[in-house]
Amino acid sequence: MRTDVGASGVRGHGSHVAAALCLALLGAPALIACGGGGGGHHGVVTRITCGGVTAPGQDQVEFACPANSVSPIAVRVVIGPTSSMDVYGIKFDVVFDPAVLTFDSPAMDGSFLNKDGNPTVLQAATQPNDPGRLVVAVTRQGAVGGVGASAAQTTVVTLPFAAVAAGTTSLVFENGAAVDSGLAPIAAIQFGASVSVTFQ
Amino acid sequence: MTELSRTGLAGAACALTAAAFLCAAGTSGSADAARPILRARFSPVAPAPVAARTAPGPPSFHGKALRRGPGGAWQPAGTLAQTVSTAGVPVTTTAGDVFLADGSETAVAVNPFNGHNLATVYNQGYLNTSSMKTSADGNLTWTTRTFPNGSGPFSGFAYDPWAVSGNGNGVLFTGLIRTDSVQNSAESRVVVARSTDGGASWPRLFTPARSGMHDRQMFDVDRTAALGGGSGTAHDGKVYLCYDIFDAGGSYVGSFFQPVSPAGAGLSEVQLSDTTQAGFHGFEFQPVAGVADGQVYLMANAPSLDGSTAYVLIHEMNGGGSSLLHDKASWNYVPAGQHLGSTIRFGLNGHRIGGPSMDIDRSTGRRRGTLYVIADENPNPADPTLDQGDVVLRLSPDGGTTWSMATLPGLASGKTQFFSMIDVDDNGWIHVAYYQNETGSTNGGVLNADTANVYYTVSSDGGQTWAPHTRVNDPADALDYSDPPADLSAQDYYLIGDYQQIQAGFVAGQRVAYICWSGYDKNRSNIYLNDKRDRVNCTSVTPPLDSDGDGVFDPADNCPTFYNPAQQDSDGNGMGDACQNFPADANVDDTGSSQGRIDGSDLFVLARSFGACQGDAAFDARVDLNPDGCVDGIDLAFMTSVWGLVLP
Repeated sequence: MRTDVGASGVRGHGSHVAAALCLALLGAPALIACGGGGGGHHGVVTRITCGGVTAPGQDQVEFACPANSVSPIAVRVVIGPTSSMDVYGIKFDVVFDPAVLTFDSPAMDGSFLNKDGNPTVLQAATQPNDPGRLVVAVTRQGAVGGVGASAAQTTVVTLPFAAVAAGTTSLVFENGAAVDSGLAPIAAIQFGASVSVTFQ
Repeated sequence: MTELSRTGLAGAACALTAAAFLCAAGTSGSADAARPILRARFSPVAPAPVAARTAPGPPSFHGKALRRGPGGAWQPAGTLAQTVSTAGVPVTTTAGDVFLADGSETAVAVNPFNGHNLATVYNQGYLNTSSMKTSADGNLTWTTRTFPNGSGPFSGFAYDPWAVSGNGNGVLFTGLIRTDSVQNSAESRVVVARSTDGGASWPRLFTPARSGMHDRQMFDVDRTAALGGGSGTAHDGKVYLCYDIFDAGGSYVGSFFQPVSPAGAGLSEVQLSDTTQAGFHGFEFQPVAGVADGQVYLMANAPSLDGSTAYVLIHEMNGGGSSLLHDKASWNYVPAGQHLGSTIRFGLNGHRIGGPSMDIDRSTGRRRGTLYVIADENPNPADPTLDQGDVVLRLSPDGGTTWSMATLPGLASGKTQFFSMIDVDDNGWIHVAYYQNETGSTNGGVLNADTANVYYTVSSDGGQTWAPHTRVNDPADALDYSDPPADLSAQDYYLIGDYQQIQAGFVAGQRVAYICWSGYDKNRSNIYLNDKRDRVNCTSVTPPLDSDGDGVFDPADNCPTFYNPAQQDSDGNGMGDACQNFPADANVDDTGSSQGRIDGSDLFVLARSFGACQGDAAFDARVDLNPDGCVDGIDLAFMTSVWGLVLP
């Protein structure tokens, strides 16, 4: 089992670690090219294409095209402009073909649920007997309200994946839900369609 | 999921917890009564007025090395061996006790890079150059080493041993006070020796120049950051030496702090106290290097003017000796035992006992910097027919400003404990050893016994919880006292020393504690060296494991691989709640997609209650998974250890 506790479990209690990880990932902008590029990882020629990405609509959670065309890829999960006023936590599974991809922890918190500076908790891990299902949750911490409306697309979480073999797999949301500060589901927030990723 | 894998998950959770989160020890749970878990009950230490009327006591060398002879001249004390027996060295090794030599008042240092590499030093008598040994095999065999002379005439017999480890592999320090080779001289000098080859050779590092009778020397070494010292390097390797000075008439002159450079050069000496009431801030200073570069804590003793109580004073030196902060704390207590004869010395079994000892946590854990002082205190000072000594631990989490105290749990009820020793190892475990009077002709030997043993216990959680106390000496090596004790007033009641030492080390990651203690056999002649009554033994102890780091040692832990300091066991079946229903307990929300699975719905509940404790509005007992009354990183670690798990 691979376990990632939001870089250091509780954001705000180990932010230097998270920052270091973010720098490590963001420190390779020259390699970012959706649908192109080259390189290698796990013996795979990782020229990838990414299909099916659409700009998220209002209150819509979507995959963004992997920012890096070289394995490992960083798949951002974004939320479109939202009218919801009290978003406390978001959970979902990402289902994929483990013969093509593997989750390459750690996941990294986005800027949606912590935009007011409140600590968040991020957890993302697969189970050994189900390596093609990444169970993800990110939530605000403590007895506080949720975040309010947002006018722009915002990253909820970034999920690194590494190529296992050449091939195509889809990334599919399952069991997606958002809750308010009373932990009641927010029906308005919906999870979007799958995207496909091809490694050549 | 199998039980085995659950255990592994729990272990992973605990490792994560230990690395990233506070591991607050919980308060006592209801299961305490059912399990042999020794929890300390700490209470605030009542501070004593800083300006309390105290005075220095008599020098410790009375009876140890010197006594007043006819005409007032200093003479060797009568207990010193006069010559070496021709009968040969009666080396005995029984059980875990390794007999080193005739002698008493032991000190031991352990190489922090090699726990098999030891150095001991002790009082012996005239054979001064042989009053130390080293071991390269972890207390299996010992080799006699030569302790250096002091400068000039200071090559006489020695007293007041001390030993500490240095900063490099094989760097060890020992100290003794060497008397003047001229008989009846009123001069003696501290000699600090340093070995850089694991104890094979011991060149003199430093001798203070101050004239007078030196007494009660103790020192410590400024640690490098790698060994728990501060992050700077300006003071690394400095030796912080303290000693008292008495004049030819036996009057107290003052106590001094002498920093010594790593090269052995004496730096500016600081007078810590003098003979005036305003200037007296205690004597018999024990320096303990702190966790900042150049920082050293100084613990001093002082009797009250009427001798009825003993005071402890805590001072702090910084800048390697350039800045002294007097009187950070002070408290008083009644020492174990009763006054010996007409003296103001407290003692048991006809001999005086030691004062308090101090150490500090230099680990990287959350208790780093915590100071610990251990002392022998009398729970029944007004009634000598009752228990005359308990081991009391005090701790300060704020650099010696405030203190709390607890009698060590697990002490044998009704028996007298004394000569407590303490060492805090590199991981912050607290090792304690002490003597205990066992039997005697009067009142069970609480004041004067005919036998005594040495015991050991350890705490892995900063003194909150303790391992069962274990007698560590072989029965054949039990102290065999005269009961009633002889009147030793002529020698000022010195018998087996003023202190003994315990030091812990690591061998290939395995923790081991060495207790170097003085035995006593009344049946020996006490005339010749090799037939003296006081005998130096070192005993190796392997502490129990605490696999989950919750302070409860594995043999008593109801979830040995699961961090559950409270040990809650609601159904009393012997398996702690924390692991009995785990991981099912982590499935807090069992609705929707979370049915039968630990995922975000459960994490939302935990996050909402994160940081809340019982009584807080946000506290949710469902996610207090350990359960210790608070929802914290430990609970989060537990949940994440089974993240995504589909329950059977």
